[in-house]
Amino acid sequence: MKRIYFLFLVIITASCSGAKTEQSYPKSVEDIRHERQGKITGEEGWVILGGEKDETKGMGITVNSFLWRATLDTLSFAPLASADPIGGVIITEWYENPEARGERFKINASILDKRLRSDGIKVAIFKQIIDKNGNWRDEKVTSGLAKDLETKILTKARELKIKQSR
Amino acid sequence: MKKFLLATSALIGAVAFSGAALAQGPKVTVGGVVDFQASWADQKNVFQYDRGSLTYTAGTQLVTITGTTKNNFSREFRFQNEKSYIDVKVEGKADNGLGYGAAIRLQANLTADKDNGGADARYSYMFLESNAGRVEMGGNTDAAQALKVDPSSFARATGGIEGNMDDYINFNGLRANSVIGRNPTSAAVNGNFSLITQSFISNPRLPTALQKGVGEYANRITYYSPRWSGVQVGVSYAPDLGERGNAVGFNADNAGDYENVFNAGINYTGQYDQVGIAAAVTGETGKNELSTIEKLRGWNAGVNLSYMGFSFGGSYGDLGKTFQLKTSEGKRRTYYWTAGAAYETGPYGVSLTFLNGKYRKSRSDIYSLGADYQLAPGLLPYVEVNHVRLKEESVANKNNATNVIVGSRLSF
Repeated sequence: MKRIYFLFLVIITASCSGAKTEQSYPKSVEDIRHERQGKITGEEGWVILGGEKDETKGMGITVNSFLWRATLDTLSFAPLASADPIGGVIITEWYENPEARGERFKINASILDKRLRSDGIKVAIFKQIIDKNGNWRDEKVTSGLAKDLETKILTKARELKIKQSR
Repeated sequence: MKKFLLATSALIGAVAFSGAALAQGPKVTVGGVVDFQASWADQKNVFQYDRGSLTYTAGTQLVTITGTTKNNFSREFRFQNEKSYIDVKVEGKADNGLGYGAAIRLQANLTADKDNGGADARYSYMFLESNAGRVEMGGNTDAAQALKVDPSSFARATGGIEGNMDDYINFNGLRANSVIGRNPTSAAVNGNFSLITQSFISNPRLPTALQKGVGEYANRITYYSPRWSGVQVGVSYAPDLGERGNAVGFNADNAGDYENVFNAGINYTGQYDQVGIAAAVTGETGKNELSTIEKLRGWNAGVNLSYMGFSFGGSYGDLGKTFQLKTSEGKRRTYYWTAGAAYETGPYGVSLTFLNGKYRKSRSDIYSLGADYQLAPGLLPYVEVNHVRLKEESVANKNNATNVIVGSRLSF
């Protein structure tokens, strides 16, 4: 029991040191299972008093937050041209991989729903290659590449949701 | 030690919890679940309670149960709507950044309280929260149960090996030399109102949480640390597992409950590329009010992996000689192990979970196959098929049971 108490004190002390932490706390297995199915009243449930909705209506993220964060994480390899959390659109700049010179990509990602659904993200990829005159010309993108990126974003979003539930 | 811990918890709540200065008005959220189930179950006659009077002795010093009026477990369709509840949550943030609030889960039973715990709320507690962690005070689940990792975390439908099959399959054996959990049909007998006879492990739970509805939600204080680099710890203390809501009166309390119960756990979650991992080790300890019953001891370790919609997991739990009479013949450890897998794609999910348990020489093998489909936000129809093989210490008493549950759960 003394060991548990001293562990307790160490944790309190460490928390005051400013170490990076996540403020997520465990829920029962039943609650995790029920939260997985969402709510008819929306993600936050039925707020009868107070809440951020009253103060920040029209501001902040209006699309699914897990898809939003997952898309930002997945596309972090390229510089962003724009990110609109209201419309749910993320557009990268043209990105040329230093290890694959001569071709560059631009990605448009659109989050279509407030819910985490498999059809809630749409990715469009544009490709250009440099011709012999040094001009960039549009090139057809390999089929399935956009779909693969959507799958990766969905997987990441699902993991973020599970992590938050835990 | 107990008084010191209680005082320390109060001190933590008042002083150590502080954060960035940002006030937020209170937010009150109401929600809940309505869960309708249709079930068919087939179980061997001798384990059914209402086939005439069923009498057995649970050791020489404990209770004798004579006949019951429990529902027939065999070959019968049943409809049930006992899992419904209403949640009320209130949360706010003080000027100094201290988060605080409360959560109450009211049971929406249409008939008498199912677990006969004599309470209308499943849990009711308040909490304090800051960058130092979270403290919960009241009737809520303990830290070991909350932090544990096993296949029930990803089981679909009603929850597989930690689901609702024990509403339809009778896990109470014919002959038990000690006790587990709570008797749903018996009032105080010989003062031991919190004891039941059950000789099979039916859930992957440690002793505290095995006492569903009673010890599970006893009055306690729990602390959870924030999660640092994926690691989180938690510890709970309950003075008496028989006290939920009201404390026992002014008479001597020798009801056979476990007291001075500590539960603790350490949990890790991490993501490595597309592979997710969750692992935990939990444990608990306590002492019984009766000197004739063994101490409460138990520990559990489990790990779950996830990859591209697939989940795999397993765990092992050891309950020591908890619940057994000190004078029992042939005392043995109680233990269980679990394994499971699940797959989720879009709105569909399916899982298969398994539990093998050994209580003294009584063995249980539980298989559960579940599937669900998210028809609409908050609306989840599901189906679960459970098969159970129970073998008691006495070789003649074998029992197989099959149960199919079809249900629909609405979350609001």
